[in-house]
Amino acid sequence: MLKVQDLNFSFKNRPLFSGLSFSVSAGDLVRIAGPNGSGKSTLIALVTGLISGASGSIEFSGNSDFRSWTSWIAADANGLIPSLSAATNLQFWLELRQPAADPEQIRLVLSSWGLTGDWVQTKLPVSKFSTGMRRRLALARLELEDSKLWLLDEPLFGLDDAACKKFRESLKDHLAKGGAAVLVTHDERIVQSLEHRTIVLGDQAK
Amino acid sequence: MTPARQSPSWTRTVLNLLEQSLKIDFSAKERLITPVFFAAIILLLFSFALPEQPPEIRSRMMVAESLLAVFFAMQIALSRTFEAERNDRVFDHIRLSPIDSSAFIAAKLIHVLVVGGCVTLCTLVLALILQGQDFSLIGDPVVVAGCFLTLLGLSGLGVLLAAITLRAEGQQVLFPLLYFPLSVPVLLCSSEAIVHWLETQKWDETMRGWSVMLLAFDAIYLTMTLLMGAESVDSGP
Repeated sequence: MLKVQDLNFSFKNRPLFSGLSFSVSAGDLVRIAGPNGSGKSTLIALVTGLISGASGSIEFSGNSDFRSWTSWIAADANGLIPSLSAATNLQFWLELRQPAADPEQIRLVLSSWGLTGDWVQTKLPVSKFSTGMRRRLALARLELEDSKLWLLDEPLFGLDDAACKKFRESLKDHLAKGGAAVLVTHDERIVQSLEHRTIVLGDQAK
Repeated sequence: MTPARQSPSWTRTVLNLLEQSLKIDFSAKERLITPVFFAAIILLLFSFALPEQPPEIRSRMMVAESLLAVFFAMQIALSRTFEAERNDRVFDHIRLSPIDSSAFIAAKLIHVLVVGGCVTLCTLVLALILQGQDFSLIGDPVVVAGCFLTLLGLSGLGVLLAAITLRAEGQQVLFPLLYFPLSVPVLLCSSEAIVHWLETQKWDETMRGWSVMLLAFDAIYLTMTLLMGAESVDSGP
């Protein structure tokens, strides 16, 4: 699905990583670890193409637009439109990927993430949600997007134990169905029970 | 996991993006009210500041005041074109959605045209009241076409500049610096064409000349917007 080869990146003349290589195939879970400032989020941003300036290569398999089969969760944002409701947000984002979104499926997935009730799902604007509720909504979108490759940067930020458990189940299902994930996290518990590889960044940080 | 998913069509994507932009506007009504309010203030200032005009130059004054009010009101609306997408990294999520960037720009353009249409209509009605002119002017097809082409040019230019300065530091200074001088040709052609029509009611050589120039500037700005705007959305920071 994804092949990163000999990737080098410096930020203001400070090398974050050099000669970084790894590949991600169906069913793989790759954890990116390292201390703060070691370039974990930067690596995800480079893979998605949100930032450029690295040497080396990042290749996605297949001829189709990689964006149609990858989903992204950022560490510092959820990518939600604050003035719209949870259901309208999901409908909007899903319809950028597929011709029509199923409102019933949206309702079910929102409920499974603890965002229950008509008021929370369709009336309350996302701007009134708590940090944890917004993260749950972003993860509900991730689940509904049904992409092959998940690029996740600290996906559990702001979540309570119940939501963390739900995310682990969701991730497990995703991998079992042949999906793959690149996961940036400091939280060992997410990957504890799952087969995974860990790439530690920061060895070259000065 | 869906192995091969059908993507939405370009038109469907534009409509989806447009629908959300309008929903955002209606959920935060000040986004629509602010430009209209600003245009109204400009017209009121003119009406109090200037003495009563002789009948022969009333239509010329009305066109000048209305266009100026619409121009400044549009500057407010246009400078906020991508404001909703700046929050919570929505813009980055749109960039990572499998959509054609030109659909995003086209939706923005239509959205600005809709907002601009509302602003222009309110401005014209108020200008007619303040100048004591006949309301039938709003139904004059040439005036309507002139206003539409003016809006098209200003919107095209505005969306282009908003896209180009999207990630620029000092965007709020850069935008008007570029928008003011570049919109002069559009405003000049439209005001001359509309005034000539109101004074003569003739589709003559002068009218054709200004109209063709207005169309030409519209075409230039719209083409640049669709090409360069999409490129600007695609490119990294």
